[in-house]
Amino acid sequence: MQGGLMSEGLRKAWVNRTAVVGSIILVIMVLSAALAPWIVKTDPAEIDLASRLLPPAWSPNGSAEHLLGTDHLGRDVLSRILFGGRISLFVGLVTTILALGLGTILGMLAGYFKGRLEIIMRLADVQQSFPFIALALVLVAAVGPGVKTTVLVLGIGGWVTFARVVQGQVLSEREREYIEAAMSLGARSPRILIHHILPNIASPIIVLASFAFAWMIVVEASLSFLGFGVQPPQSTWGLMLSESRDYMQIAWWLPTFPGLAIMMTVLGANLLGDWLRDVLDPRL
Amino acid sequence: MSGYLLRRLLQTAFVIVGSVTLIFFVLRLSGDPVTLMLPYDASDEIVERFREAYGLKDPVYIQYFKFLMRAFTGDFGTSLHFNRPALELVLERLPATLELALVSVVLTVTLSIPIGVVAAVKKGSLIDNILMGAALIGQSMPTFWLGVMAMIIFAVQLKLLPTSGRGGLRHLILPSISLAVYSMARLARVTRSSMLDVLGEDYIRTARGKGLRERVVIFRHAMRNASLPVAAMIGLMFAALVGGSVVIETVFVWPGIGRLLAEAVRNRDYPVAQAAVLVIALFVTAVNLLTDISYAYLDPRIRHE
Repeated sequence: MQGGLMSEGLRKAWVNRTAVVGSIILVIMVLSAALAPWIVKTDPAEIDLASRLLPPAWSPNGSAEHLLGTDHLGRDVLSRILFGGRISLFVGLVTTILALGLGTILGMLAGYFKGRLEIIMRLADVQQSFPFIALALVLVAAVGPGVKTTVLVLGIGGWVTFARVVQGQVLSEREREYIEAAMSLGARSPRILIHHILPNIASPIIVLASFAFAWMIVVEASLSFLGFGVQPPQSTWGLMLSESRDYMQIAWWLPTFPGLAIMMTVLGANLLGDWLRDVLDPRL
Repeated sequence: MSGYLLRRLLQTAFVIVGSVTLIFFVLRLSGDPVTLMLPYDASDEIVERFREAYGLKDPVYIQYFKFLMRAFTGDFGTSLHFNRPALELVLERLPATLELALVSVVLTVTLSIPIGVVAAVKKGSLIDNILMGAALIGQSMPTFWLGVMAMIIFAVQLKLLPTSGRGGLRHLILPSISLAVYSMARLARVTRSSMLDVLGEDYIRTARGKGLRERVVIFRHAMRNASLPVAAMIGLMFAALVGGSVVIETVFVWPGIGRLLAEAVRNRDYPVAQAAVLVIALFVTAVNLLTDISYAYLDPRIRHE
């Protein structure tokens, strides 16, 4: 059943261009970040004040050594985007996994033990009434900025979407006959939740995860842009945008390329998510 | 209806108390709130006096109770940076944020609903592909990046519009459009899929079958039914817009609550940050409540659930 669904899905993916385009974009972004040291020879942190604010190579004043130009400290933009992408993508991935894990566990509990754990969904209501960035800012103010805080804040902050969908799915799933059958065979709640319910609600979780990844990339960039996310000397796309603000009047390439990197990643994840939704779960 | 209303009001009350509670405990996450509220180099004597003044020597549950009482009377303390009541500062900035959010909502609704309807009616055509491609890209652009790029092109290069600040209509154009693009893209896609669902229904076939003109079928029959999920989305969107304004206000130096919040966090002005976040949360909760009530009013299936 599962195998059949997969090969059917792959065949459709081949037919469906959006899925192919989305996956190719994501693979390129991930590979170029992973292989950064082999793609560019310039150290992303190497300061060279003699060649500061150089435009991209194809501009009249550009230098062939710096394909996408240099920033206010003469650091190579391409190199910083590739190496910065490592942190951006890493944060996006880890936070998505965290949010998925937390949201799925809490959503399953809330759905399975309906009335008794009502409080979980009420907490979700409370959290949803805060625009996420606002809540994240206050958390960062209390804990202090950095990669660790960013991962924790985003990971914990992202649970609500997963929990809502999972809770709804579990609520309807637990009334099904196979659950009753498992119960009458003497299966305990944890076993029913993990072995019987979880495999049946996996599809919407996977779909949500790809959208969540896109969302995490944007929120991390926003936080870093405001100066409350990843801190220098580490670099992410959002931080590059933040640093470019003072020079954007004279150096258009500084905000343009990191922003494009964010956009391509998010676009890839969204395309993939759209396709996964079509294939795995038409209900969402 | 009244049962639904009552349940929804109770839920809202819970959300409000929950928000205040959350803010109270977040402040204590780092351990000692005094270290957050005072400058790093404050003397021991000042720290002691501060503890006394803010009642930080009481047991936590008494502090929590006092915080709740004060929050409900609108007392969040004095701004450490401006030396004025925190709530007053926040409320002063509210009109600017509302102006920005309202213009963005109007832009979103007036543009994305026609776009979604056209795309659905012309499904599979070149127009549909272009509109939905644009929506997909619009949905993938970070709001603040769009703001920065728009500023570079229209304010710095072409010098058509002011780069920042709040003033007349000209100042509103770049920030409100940058803020609206994401919700426009999302709403256009939701409108399209909602229209497509409706257009496949039997009653649409019936309407066409009895010879109604296509215009009547689309506007009278299809759009009305397709508007429900769209209406539900507009409430959620408002919350997203207010959240997005935190970043976009910083980009365009717009004197709203969002920028005040970011500045307060940067200055470690905790009373102002608390007040700002709570006002934002209250506002979003109120909008959600209103959306749900009007939604239930529009769709009898909900209030009888």
